[in-house]
Amino acid sequence: MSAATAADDGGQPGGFAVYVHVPFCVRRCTYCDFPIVVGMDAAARSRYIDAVVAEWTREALPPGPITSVYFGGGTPSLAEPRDIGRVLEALAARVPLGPGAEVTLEANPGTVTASQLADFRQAGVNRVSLGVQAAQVHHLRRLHREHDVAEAHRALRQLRRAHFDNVSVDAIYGLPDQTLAEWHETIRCLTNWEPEHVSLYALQVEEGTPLARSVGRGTSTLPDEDLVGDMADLAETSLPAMGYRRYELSNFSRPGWESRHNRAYWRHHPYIGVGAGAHSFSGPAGARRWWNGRHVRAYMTEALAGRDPTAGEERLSMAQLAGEAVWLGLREAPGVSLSAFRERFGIPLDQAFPGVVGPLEAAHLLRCTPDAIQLTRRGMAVGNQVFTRFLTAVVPSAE
Amino acid sequence: MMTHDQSRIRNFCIIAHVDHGKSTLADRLLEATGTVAPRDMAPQLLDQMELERERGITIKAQAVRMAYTASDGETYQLNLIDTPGHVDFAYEVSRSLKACEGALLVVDASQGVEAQTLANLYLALEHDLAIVPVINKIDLPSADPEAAVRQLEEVGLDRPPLLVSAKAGVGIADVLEAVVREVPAPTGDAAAPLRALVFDARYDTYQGVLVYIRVMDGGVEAGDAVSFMAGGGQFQVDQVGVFRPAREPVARLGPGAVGYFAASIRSVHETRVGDTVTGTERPAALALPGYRPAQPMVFSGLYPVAAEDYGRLREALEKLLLNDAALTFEPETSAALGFGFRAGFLGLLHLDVIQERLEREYGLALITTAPNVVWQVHYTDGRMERVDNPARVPMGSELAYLEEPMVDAEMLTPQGSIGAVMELAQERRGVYRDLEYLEGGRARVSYRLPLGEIMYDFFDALKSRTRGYASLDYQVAGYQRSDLVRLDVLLNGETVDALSVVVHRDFAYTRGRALAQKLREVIPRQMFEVPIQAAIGGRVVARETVRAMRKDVLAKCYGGDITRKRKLLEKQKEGKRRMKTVGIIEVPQEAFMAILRLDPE
Repeated sequence: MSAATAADDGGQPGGFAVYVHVPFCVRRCTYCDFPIVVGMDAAARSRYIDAVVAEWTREALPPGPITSVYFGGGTPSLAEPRDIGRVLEALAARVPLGPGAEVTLEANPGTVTASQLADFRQAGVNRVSLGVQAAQVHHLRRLHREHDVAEAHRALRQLRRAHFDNVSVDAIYGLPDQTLAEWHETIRCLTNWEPEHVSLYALQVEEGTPLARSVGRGTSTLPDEDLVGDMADLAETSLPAMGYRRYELSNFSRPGWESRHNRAYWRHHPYIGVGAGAHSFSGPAGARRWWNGRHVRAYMTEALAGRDPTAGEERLSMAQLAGEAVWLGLREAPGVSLSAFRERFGIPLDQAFPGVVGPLEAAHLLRCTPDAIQLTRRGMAVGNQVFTRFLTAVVPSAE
Repeated sequence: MMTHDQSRIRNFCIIAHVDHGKSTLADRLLEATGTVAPRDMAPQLLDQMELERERGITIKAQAVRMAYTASDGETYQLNLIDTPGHVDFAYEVSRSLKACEGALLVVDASQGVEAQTLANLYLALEHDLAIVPVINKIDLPSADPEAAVRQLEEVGLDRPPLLVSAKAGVGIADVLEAVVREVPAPTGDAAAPLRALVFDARYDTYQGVLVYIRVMDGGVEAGDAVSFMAGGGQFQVDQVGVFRPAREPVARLGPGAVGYFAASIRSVHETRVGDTVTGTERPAALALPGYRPAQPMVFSGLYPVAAEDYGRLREALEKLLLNDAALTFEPETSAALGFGFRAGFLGLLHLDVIQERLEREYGLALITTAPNVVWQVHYTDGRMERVDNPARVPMGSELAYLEEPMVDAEMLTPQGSIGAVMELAQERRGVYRDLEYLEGGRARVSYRLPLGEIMYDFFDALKSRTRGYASLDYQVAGYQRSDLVRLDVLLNGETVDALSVVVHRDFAYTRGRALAQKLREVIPRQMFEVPIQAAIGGRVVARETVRAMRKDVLAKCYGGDITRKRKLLEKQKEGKRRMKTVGIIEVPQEAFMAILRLDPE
């Protein structure tokens, strides 16, 4: 395998990833448009887990092993550790977890006690992604986050005590009225805690969210594009200086602590999503994507009744698949291997996308190495300008 | 079949403010006379074009013959002529009115008399039509028929209005009876040579142009040789007929009749509205009065976003031309936009309609440049040239002076708004001509104005300053010398010819600054910084910058929803397709219309 290939995929040529959607929340964050339910009681939460297990049991699966499991939400840390354990047992009952499989649980500071963390660890979770979002309490309040920064710090110390050696923290920039100085403080604060992995996201205002309404009414003012650009620049220069490598557009890690699960998405590995609104991908061979209904209670009814909760699907053409291979692959720092592309699609990349690479390289958005194309830092900032040119390839039909 | 007896013919139209229920009333009349079975009714049957139905406006005139047996036991032939309803088409309206002896004046019971109602009423009175006032929508909870009755009295209509709900079908029979009793029968001379007024025409794939006529004197039948007295064309009539509302051939159209004839005419351009049709062998001595050839007043560049669509655009324009005598176009080349056409229109609505039809019916993505008038350029060597493209208006020493087209505008307004109307006219370089106080608390304000100043948003501004009450009518009034200058726009240091505009020197600086600012708002950030400059005669008067794009990337991917990501990217790409690449800059359609949407200073 050439060096420029997004090479280190854990040495697992096969297997698949599993995403488990856990829609429990104490409160809806203002920017959130995910399928969640606020205030489910313990019994309902447990029934939801029953539904997930029921769905999993009937799902047709790609060949194992399971390379990673990701409990995303929602607030998965609101689930009982024994329920998370039940899911992991159900997974393993059908397909073994591969050696060193990454098992991530998203957690919100302030939702878990030290003993619960220990129990999650005991249940098989080996990585926690902590949603810190901002270091300033006024921003956290405005986003309807329940915690403050001291609680986040305490959660991190507790994770360490519970023997979590792989912790990621999330933060968001471009918040209403956020200043560059505040964002700097957030970055400093997070890195001081020395997590293995950091995810930084630019705030996206999704239609129909309380945030979108507030922006529409003019009660929230988003920072302009230049300030958001400055915030991104700040993160992209200061994190590497503290030993975090930017291995993907929004993800930084200590070398060796990249998220294996996240990479499965960018590399066209198969993944099975269970739970309300979860998405699945068959892998390139079937080229099928499908997803569950977003309504949590409707999902539970279907799954518990033993019916298929799938709400939609699509099949990708070879042209789309080749396009995705590029625009998803470019998200990772090593970029897209030319030889791997040619081997997979039977056509050189520059013929699959005639006249595309040259101008992007000339505009300093793409960098060409002997065997790869990669986004430059500028290209990462305006990735959509690159991605939109790789949506559909000119490839011979594979049918 | 009815025998031709003029005393049993009634020709009438319906005049109303938009939304006051003209089309619904027409539909009810068609039903009540059995012309159309209720189950065959499409709402607003007379507005045939999809666009007409959507916008609630009538662009092409219609004429429907109905048979109605009145309470006196006689069966009458009622011809309903539906007229276009916009100032762009004022001349077409006046021809339709000429074809009638009476008009139903429809007023919404809750809205009352509005500016357009009055403008139309005055127009109808000018044509000596018998007016039957109708108050519609009396069943609405907000209806105030008494107030509407009072308003109609105030404007000088003595006849008590009929109270109607066209939607609920109330009072329809009274309307038909009133038409029979109060609209005079036509009084044409059956023995005289043929004189028929052309009030519309449309192209039919099989029969060629259908010429809509009102026979004034004489008659016409298949086999007749006919001539257009102003246009000069001579044709052999293949068929005469009426609309019921589907086409129905008849043996003959006699005096007073309304219908159509087909004569294998290939283009509507040979059949101008307002022309007089007469017999070739026994021609009338005098044409009907008032012919005015439809003349495009505003010009705009039409360019395909994708260069390869040029051929398709030409074909589409040629097809539209078959049915639109007022449209003109000729090929033109822009350094910025490539190959396209310069097209002429009656007014902005006409432009809008054509543009929308090109995009919707022919699936074309277009860039339309800001509409402009035709200037007369006088050179120092004595030559004169008519120029319809701002980029070609010279600014060098060869230019002696420029002339611009003027109009005489009449604005009917409540007396309380006279000041506001005059102020607006002054702002637009108007020269006061007359002020006349009318009955009913109204006034007629007359100004001579440059057409270039009123074509954009003058009507809207007039409405907003008079709370919707003022109406506008104008007639061309020749050319006048003006101190005009060309305002050029440079993007990235390069002049973009398609963005040039011609403005009065007094406004040039403020408009230049406002235009540069507006362009900064509508041109999206690019991969690099884009300087925008406005220049007069090579001298830069304003500068703005579209800063380089900083951030454009979808970061989040919750739970592997790649599908959504791809759709967002596809949408973004689709948005790009709507933009024209000028040099290396992607410029959206809005930029070319920015001059029309400057923020008030």
